[in-house]
Amino acid sequence: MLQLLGDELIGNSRLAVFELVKNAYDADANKVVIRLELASKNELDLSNGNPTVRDVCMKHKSQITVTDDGEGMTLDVLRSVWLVPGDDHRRQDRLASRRTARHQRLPLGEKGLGRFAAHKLGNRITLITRAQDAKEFVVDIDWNKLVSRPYLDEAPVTIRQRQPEEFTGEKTGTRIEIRELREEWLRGEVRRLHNQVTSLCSPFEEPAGFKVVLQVPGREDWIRDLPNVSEILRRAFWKFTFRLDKERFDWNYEFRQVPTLDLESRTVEKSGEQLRLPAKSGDDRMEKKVVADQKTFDGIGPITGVFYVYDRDKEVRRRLPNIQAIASFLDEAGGVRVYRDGIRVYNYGERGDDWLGLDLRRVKRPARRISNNIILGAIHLSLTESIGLIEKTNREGFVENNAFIELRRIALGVLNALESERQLDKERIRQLTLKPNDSSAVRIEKPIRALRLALQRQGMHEKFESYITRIEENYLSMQETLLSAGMSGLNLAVVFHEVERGVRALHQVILEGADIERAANQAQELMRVLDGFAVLLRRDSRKQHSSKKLVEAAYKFNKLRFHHHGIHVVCPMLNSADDGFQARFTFNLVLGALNNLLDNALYWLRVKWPDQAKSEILSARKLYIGLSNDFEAGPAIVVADSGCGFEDAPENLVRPFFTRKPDGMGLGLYYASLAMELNGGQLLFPQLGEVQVPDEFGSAVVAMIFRGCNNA
Amino acid sequence: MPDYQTVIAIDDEPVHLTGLANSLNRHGVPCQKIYFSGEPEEIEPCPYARLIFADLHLGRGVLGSDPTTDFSVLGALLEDSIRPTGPYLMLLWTMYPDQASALQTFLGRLNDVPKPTAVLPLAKADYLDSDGNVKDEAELMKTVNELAKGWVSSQGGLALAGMWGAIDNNDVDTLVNEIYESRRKNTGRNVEFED
Repeated sequence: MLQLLGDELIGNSRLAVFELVKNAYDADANKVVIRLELASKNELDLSNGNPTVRDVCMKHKSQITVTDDGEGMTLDVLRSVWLVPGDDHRRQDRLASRRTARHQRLPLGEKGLGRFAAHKLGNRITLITRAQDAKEFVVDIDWNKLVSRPYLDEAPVTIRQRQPEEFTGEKTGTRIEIRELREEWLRGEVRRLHNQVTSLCSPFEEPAGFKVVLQVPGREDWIRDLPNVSEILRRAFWKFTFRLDKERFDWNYEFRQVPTLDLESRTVEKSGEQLRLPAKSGDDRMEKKVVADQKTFDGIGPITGVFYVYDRDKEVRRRLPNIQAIASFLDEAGGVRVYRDGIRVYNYGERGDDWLGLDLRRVKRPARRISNNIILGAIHLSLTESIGLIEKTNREGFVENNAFIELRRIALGVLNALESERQLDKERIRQLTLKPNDSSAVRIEKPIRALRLALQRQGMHEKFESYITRIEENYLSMQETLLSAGMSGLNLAVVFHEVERGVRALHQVILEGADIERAANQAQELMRVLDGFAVLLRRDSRKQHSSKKLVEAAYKFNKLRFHHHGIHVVCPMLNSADDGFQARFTFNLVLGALNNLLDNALYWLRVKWPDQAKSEILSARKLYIGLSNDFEAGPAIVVADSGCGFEDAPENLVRPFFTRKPDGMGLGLYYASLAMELNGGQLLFPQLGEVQVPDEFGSAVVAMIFRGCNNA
Repeated sequence: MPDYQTVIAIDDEPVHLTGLANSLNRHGVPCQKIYFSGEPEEIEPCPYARLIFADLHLGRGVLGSDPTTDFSVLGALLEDSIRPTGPYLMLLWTMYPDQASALQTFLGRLNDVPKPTAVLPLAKADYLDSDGNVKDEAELMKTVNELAKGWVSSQGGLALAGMWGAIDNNDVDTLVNEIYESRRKNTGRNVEFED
């Protein structure tokens, strides 16, 4: 039963070792030493025709020892707690906020499962323990003998008392020796364990005195070359620290000077910001809340954290020395980890556990999004305040309840703040490492072929084929149209590059066994990027239209959204007999441009004025749509709002894939700008005073200028 | 086009629209094509529409992430332009079929919009070839019939009356029998006219 519990409740041997370390933490230890004594023998390998000598692990002769200098156990604790399955006194202590004597720690153990870890690891266990002012006790458990008895109470578990031999003098602590290991420990597994235990305590907020050491005698070379964590952190391009307390969001962004890149460092610090949240999934995507409020943090409490981010783009890597060691470490240890009172909650941030969906997000926007293999992140929670986050009994993360769903959104919202700033510096790096671009030269065929092959191998081909076909066809026909129809001036190179990289990212997540539905969703989004731009290249005719008709259509198609989000719209021309100016344009294309402006305004109004009583929102969320003759280039349709205003320079606002919205594609204003240019017009972001709009709408103003028009 | 049309299709992709409508027409289901150019006044009311094929992304080139952008366009067309007066089924004729239930939720929350009794997905990708033409009309019709029949069965006789022209004639007899049987089982008596 004990072994069964160990097998069922603890995912793998590494996690089992981790559980033993958590026990040591709960026992108030300062130091834990994990010692892997791995026996092996040489065997002659004749399998490939060339006789070679192979080093073969002998797991039956190997041993794991975990020794801590914690409080140790008395005979009573041994009998009534350690040997009793499912005893939950640690959990009870935690619920009652009973802290440990020496370090004032709240216990991490919840249901007395940690001790089963020993049984997961090996067949013969010897536990030596000594509490203060007590004798030393030794418990021997031989699983081979245990299983031969039909009932647990017949099982031969003996407790011996002796004069201290292991913990002499004033020493206290517990030592667990596990022999006859149940699994082989190969080099890769030991290296992963090293990464796991070195990253066990947060490098950012370590509880006083807790240290984990891994020793592999005779095989030190297995772990010797593993990089030093502090050096790796020092070489990150970006460092982002943050603090969230209730709805207050303070953060510090740092782009560090990279010796081989001739770029100035840049720092941005903000305090008291709103945290913008990504949408929920499924039907909940329509949820109105776009910024975090106090309720968002229910059961989660205050959060602090730090993200170290790297750049692994090909052109950047070429310029950096010794990048391989960092790359290997990031491949293994990259991700965002979660800590409670400084102790890690597994499996968040482990390889293969993409709890934030970071790699999947990259399919849609590879250049902007941060993936697991370029980030070392830590999110710190308070054990006393994160009561809504409940650990699963198998120790693999939190129960997926509402608090956890919100934690995930919060983490993604914080990452968005970092990504929003980072895109500015990424662009500076891109400009520095830029190679001449030719949109027609970006080939999609090879990545598509690789993607199809991977999907076929995974048996997912059918689900994705229609999306892939659509992406491929749109891509190729757009390239052809650009070349043949004299539209080469329309620079879509970035879009082509991004889609090509998106296909590669999709290929990667498929290889890594991504969730099929979520991956399909990302493939759809990628398809939509191309769908959106394909319409730009259609040769729809330009005709004379009235500006009023255009505004009326846009108003009509958005009025349900205005109502849905409580937006007070002022649009004088809707009630006027005046038709406004006339201009020649492709109606649908320019309507799309105007819709994108309205879409943008709606979002930032919701950020600036979060949801509350409808009457209060209506008085604050204001949108203006009007005509203007204030521009020399021609008459304009002006969209203005009482939202947040533009934080970025106009050239960035219309740059493809540039956005500060957590779910934004960064294409709306780019599209609007292109659509206006294709119709002989222009998109402008005038300063206050350059254009006349009522005062209360002066936060953000955008103008669609039409050239060569007749004023009505 | 007379305004008593019961089956209509609306799309901003002419090839997709023609492919779908022609397939329906060839199989005896008269379908009115509505090309969406962005100008709402070009669309005439269709008060008797009982089966509406609607493309999701009619707001061309809107690249935001808020799904209500596209839902709002459809809602506005239903409220101001198409204005169906009876129960109707919407088949979301789209490359993005996952949005069907969210669209129904959105429309369901609005006061003045004539709400569809159901919004069911009909994935373009399953039925269109690379040129946007229908790959296999029989297959498309089979799916449309199944979706429409399923809806009629759940809605009863009133919906059937409205959908009469939208379902293959061969299926109508079967369908009437199915409704009859289902009602008889539920009520324990033979079906009367009032039912």
